Amino acid sequence: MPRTAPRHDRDAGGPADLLAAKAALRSQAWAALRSAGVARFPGAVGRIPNFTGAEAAAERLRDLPAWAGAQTVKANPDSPQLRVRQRALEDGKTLWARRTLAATDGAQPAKLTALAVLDRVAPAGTALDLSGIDLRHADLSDRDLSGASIRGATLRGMHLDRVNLAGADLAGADFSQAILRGGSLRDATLGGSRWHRAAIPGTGGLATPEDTGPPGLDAAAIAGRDTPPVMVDSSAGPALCLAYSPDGELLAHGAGSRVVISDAATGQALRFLPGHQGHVAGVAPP
Amino acid sequence: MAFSPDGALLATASEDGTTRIWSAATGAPRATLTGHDGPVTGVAFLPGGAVAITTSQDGTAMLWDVADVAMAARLVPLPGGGAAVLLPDGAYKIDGESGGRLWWAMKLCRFGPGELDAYGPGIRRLPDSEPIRP
Repeated sequence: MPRTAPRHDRDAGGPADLLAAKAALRSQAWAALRSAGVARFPGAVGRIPNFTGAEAAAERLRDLPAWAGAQTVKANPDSPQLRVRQRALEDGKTLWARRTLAATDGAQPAKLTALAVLDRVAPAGTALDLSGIDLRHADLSDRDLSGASIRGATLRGMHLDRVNLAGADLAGADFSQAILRGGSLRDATLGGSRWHRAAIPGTGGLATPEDTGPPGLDAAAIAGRDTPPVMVDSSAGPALCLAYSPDGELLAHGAGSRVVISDAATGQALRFLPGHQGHVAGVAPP
Repeated sequence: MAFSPDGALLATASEDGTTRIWSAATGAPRATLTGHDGPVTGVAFLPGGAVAITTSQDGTAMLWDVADVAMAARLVPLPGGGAAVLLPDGAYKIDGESGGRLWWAMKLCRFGPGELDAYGPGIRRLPDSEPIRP
């Protein structure tokens, strides 16, 4: 009994006649590769096949005027396009994957594909390069970014769950207001990275009571190093004074005998500072 | 204000947020209970006299171990009709939604009930049936 070839376009959308035409073209290409005996392991059918001459095809692509005029190249993450991606970087093109990762409206599967493209673009032994990318709209949960270059990237406000950043280069990256749960920061390079109002409720390589964390993480809140007192909201008295922090992100006001620190953008109270005996009559930024 | 059941102590609640314990016989100050975030509006001893309870304009009530001069539990009514109990060792009970009434602040990062249980020292939710005092 003949084996049914798996559909490669299970998740593709579009008009049925277009999908059928693409499926027919795909079958034609698979058949041609098979009959010519040029499909590389594990064979052509049912996948984006690698083939003898993929590298030569990439070189021919380079001769096209469209290549010469392109500033950005979009390439999928599969093996036959490896040379295309390498040549794109050598020729000073921007890989579309970087834009896809940074797009505010991109679907998560496309972003994961983009991440895979970037992961496989570099020759073996070199690091995944996410430097300078605005990653805020990508879900990086459970991703292994160990050893990656994330220099100068923007991860502001992200929820990074179980992201392995061990040995990653985070110099100059913006982790302000990000929350890192699980994962690892072991041996990561932190120079110049920003951690204002970031929280690390538990990450491998730090956050044990004995470990105060690397000095680059002074600004972050780290479980085990920074004790979290419980806050109880109350209408505790008249507000007689208020002040913005110099960066405009925080608002402090007196409320009865307490000082309330709030997020200036959302108005949400973050923390109460106790200790005054009478009503707080003045607050000033440091 | 309230006398202890045996008449030996007098407890007074103050607008300054503190509750003071005095010797009823001599008038000597014995202890000051601090912890409320607003004026204390009432104080009473539980039968037996070992525990005092205070109410405050901060919207919470506190149980105090009189001999140790230590807060034993803070009772926090929640907006939706539920309530939370906070213990000094970090343990807590909560029945209902916190409604933003209470949270844990690690530096300037805000975490709701349950979010820090696995991480913060001593922060753990007790079963509803667990007694809050031995």
